[in-house]
Amino acid sequence: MKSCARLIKTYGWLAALFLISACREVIEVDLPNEEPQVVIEGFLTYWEQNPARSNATVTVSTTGNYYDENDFNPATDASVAITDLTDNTVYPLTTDENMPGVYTNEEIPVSPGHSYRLQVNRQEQTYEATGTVLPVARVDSFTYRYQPKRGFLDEGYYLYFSGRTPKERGINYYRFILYEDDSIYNEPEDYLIQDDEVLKAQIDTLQLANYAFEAGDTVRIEMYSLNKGIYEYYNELLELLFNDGGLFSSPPRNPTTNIENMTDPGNPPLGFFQVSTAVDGEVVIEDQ
Amino acid sequence: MPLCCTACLRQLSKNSFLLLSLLLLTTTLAWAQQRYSVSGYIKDAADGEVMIGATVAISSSGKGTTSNVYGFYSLTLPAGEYQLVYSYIGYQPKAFSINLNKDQTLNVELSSGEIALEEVIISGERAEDNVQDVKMSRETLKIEKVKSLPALFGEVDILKTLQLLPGIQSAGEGTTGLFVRGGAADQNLVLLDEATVYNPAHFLGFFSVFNPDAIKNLEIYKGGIPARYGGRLSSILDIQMKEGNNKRLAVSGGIGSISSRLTIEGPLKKDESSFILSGRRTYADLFLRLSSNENINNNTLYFYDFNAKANYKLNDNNKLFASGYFGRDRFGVADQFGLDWGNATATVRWNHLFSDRLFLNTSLIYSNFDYGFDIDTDVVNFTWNANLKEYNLKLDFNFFPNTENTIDFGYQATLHKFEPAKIIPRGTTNFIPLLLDDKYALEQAIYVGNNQQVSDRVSLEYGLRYSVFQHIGPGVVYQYEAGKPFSDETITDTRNYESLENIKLYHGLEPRFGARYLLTSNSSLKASYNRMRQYLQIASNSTAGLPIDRWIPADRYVKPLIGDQIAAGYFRNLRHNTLETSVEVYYKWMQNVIDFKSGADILLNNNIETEISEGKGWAYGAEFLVKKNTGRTTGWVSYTLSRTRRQVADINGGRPYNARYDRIHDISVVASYQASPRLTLSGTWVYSTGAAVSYPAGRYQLNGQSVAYYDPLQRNAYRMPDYHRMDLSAVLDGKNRKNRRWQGSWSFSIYNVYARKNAFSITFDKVINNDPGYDPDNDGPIITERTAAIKTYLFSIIPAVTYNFKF
Repeated sequence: MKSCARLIKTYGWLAALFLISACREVIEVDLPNEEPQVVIEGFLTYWEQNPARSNATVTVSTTGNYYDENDFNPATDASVAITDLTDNTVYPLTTDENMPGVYTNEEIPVSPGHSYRLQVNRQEQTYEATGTVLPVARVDSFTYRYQPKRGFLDEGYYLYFSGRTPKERGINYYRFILYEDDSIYNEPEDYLIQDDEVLKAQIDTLQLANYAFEAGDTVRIEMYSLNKGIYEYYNELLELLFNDGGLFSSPPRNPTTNIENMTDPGNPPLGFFQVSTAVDGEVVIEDQ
Repeated sequence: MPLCCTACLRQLSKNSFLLLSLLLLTTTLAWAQQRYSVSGYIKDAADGEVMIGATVAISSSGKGTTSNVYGFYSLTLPAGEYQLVYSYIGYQPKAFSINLNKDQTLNVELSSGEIALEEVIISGERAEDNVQDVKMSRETLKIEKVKSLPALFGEVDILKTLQLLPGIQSAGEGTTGLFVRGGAADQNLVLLDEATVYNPAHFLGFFSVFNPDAIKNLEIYKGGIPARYGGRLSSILDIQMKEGNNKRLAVSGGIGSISSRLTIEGPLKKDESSFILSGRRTYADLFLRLSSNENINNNTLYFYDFNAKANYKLNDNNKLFASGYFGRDRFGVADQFGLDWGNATATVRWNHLFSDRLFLNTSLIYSNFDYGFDIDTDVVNFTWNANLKEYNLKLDFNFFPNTENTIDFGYQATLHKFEPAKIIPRGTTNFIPLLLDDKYALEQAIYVGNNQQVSDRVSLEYGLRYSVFQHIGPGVVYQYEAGKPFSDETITDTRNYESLENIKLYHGLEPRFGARYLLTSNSSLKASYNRMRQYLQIASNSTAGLPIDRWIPADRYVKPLIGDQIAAGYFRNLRHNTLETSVEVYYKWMQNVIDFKSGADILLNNNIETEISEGKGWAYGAEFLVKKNTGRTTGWVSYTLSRTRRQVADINGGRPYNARYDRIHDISVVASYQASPRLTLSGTWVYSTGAAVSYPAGRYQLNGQSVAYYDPLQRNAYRMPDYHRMDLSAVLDGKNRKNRRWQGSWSFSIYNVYARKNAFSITFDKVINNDPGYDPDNDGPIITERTAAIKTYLFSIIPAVTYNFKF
């Protein structure tokens, strides 16, 4: 429901701005240049429809100055491994010069319900995080439907999800990712995260995104189950990406990571380790 | 330093009961000689409005008293002959000789008559009040003064005028939230005819809810707060509505750039009872209709206010008042999104005179604030409602034993009901309702205070308030694993409480003390101390207020706020009391200040304690004020030097940091010039240090996003650009023709005369072609792409015209 509260805040803020026709311009602000901070972005995914596709990808990088043109500073000097906590088997992840800073293991067996620990060692610091492969909702269908212009929503084809979420095991958290003709929808406005706290278990044509597609588009939809901490991480990330500097929004701060610094607990890295079950589907939009 | 001082203040509060008893005892000892009292009401001869704070002076001794908020005064003197002088600035004084050999009533009407240019009204206080009154850290604004100053869109706004006074700051340009001496916006008790106004803002804070035509008087207490007030840490803003003309039926109104106003007032019984009805409505949405853009022209956006008040005199000793306020904002996008909110208050008061020396006001008060959303799209279709109510009973006695003492005492009880969000989906839907638990609380206080003239040089105001707050059932309290942080995962048990069952009790003493020492007839030293307890607060991690802000009571886990303030000042009048100057310094400690954890869910959370970090705050500063109240040129210059700091666990690594509204320097210049009997020119200029903000210390790529990195140890360590702005206005009164009742006047105002682009917010983002509003469809190819700081500014130069009339 946090996303709902954010929607309300955003609406109010928009209302204020559009009425008084606020103006924006670029200004020069001196910013501090601080020591690079470690950023770890880890994914371990169990693909339910095709377990052989299951894999692990961990990106290790560092921060740079805010105004630097480049925002990706890969760290190639890390050693990365994931441990299956059920049998304590260790699976190393490796990087190569084609994708510096990106550590992968395509062969790692991922089992539903198992918990995994990520361990990253770099420059005498050890970082650790754990996550559990939680079930994803049962997908009955991804469908689309034409809608005329509705308020802020453009006319066009909208996507809908039908299925069943396992509410009996507690609150479930999900993320949807959309690809249009294989290019990912990945602007801050495109984040689709949802919990089922206020949803019925049986979901019938729930609109997925508040942006429209056109006839002829091929849309691929990926749905991931999230651990609660990761869901909260995405919420905080969105809060940060849409921050107004702290007047109507909260003061900007780094999203709370689920990764610990075992060597220096007061100095956790940036980023997260996401463990998910994933399913995907495809919709080819035809004229209606 | 704050720690050790709070300890000694705590000690002081323990001893204060004893101290108070002693002082009251010395008061009663002075009774011996045969004494009689003269009492009555002081009113304006033109419309019969009672005058608040008018002076009654005994010409032989110079001693005297002032009228209370109901216009009542009482003087008790030894038998004898006296000459009494009744005065009020801008009004012709009246003198009466009385032979005081029995108790007597003397009701007095003062006329403003033809005001000479030298006597332009701007303050209701005696010329020497600044120096002689024991009160400090207090400002009174006459509504006439507020109306003559420039205003945004020409909308006269008392809260924005208050921000021009020292020690009172705003959250940002155009906003009405008040930040008094380092206190947050929810630390101000805003009273309209004694009823709490929970959200005094319209349109997300850009306008205040107080229709200037319905308001008579306002007074703000920044420190040295009398014992009769309590419940908020930083200030009391006491606003009185007009009572209505009891001489004749009168109509007044105005047509402005964004709103119109209409007021009708008149006698219910001539000279004794009257009524007033006043309304205001904005029509910003009518302009939206003119837009050809479909995204704009099918929206609604307006607010309105309605004030009503009536008084009825039963007999000489009993008078009844009923007043009410109702206001709402409505914002809608097409038929799909609607948001509306507003306050409603109702006050019924009964003034009773037990004797010429004992005055009682009994009030029954109701106050409500609510908001609601209505969303009807395919994505979501639900209603969302929340509200906050309180019911009050107040008994306030004024006892006038002799000219040296004025004793106030009373009892106040408030029942609070908090109904946070209830979200109910509609139609065939995938959503289930979300209903947060209601909370109830009972707040009570007793108080006694005395204003005592000890000697010619020394005057004291002291009092004690004892407040009790109970969070009561029905309610649910979660229990958490001992020694672990509160979270959904560490809940071990829930306990349900029955209706009216005590869940958590807080109580404590709140000593208040003020002293004045007269150095010469035109200079004095003053000092004050007050402790305040605040049992409810807004749970918010932003600075500017929104209508959806959630008020939470103190409960099992959230402790009440406790504030202590000491202040000292030097006051001096110059040039025959035409120039008032003062310097005040203050230091304030705030305990149990809360802030919220990163990513906190505040709005829709039943166990908000899981999101709270607790800490403390402190603020200190110096306020300089020079004020000219008479002559053709009037106005003031104020300068405030202040700091506001917070220290909260888990924030900024647990180290002290600046509050966002910490402004080191703050200057206001306010001037009015009576150019001719018909033309008044006014101007204001404000300057302040930019707000304290957090800026990014780096950038990284994550999940395909370019994300700013914030140093967690640099909360609010940077500054927005300095803020300054000048506004001008001119008020042109119509020709005053005899035999014509219609009187018109034009108000012209220009906001932000030199069109400075003051930063409202600064954000950091990707910018294409150096244009933050780059539109790929219209603005050509991408030439440059970089990250940059983007300034949002709201208002450039804004002219406005208003026509006001009365007949």
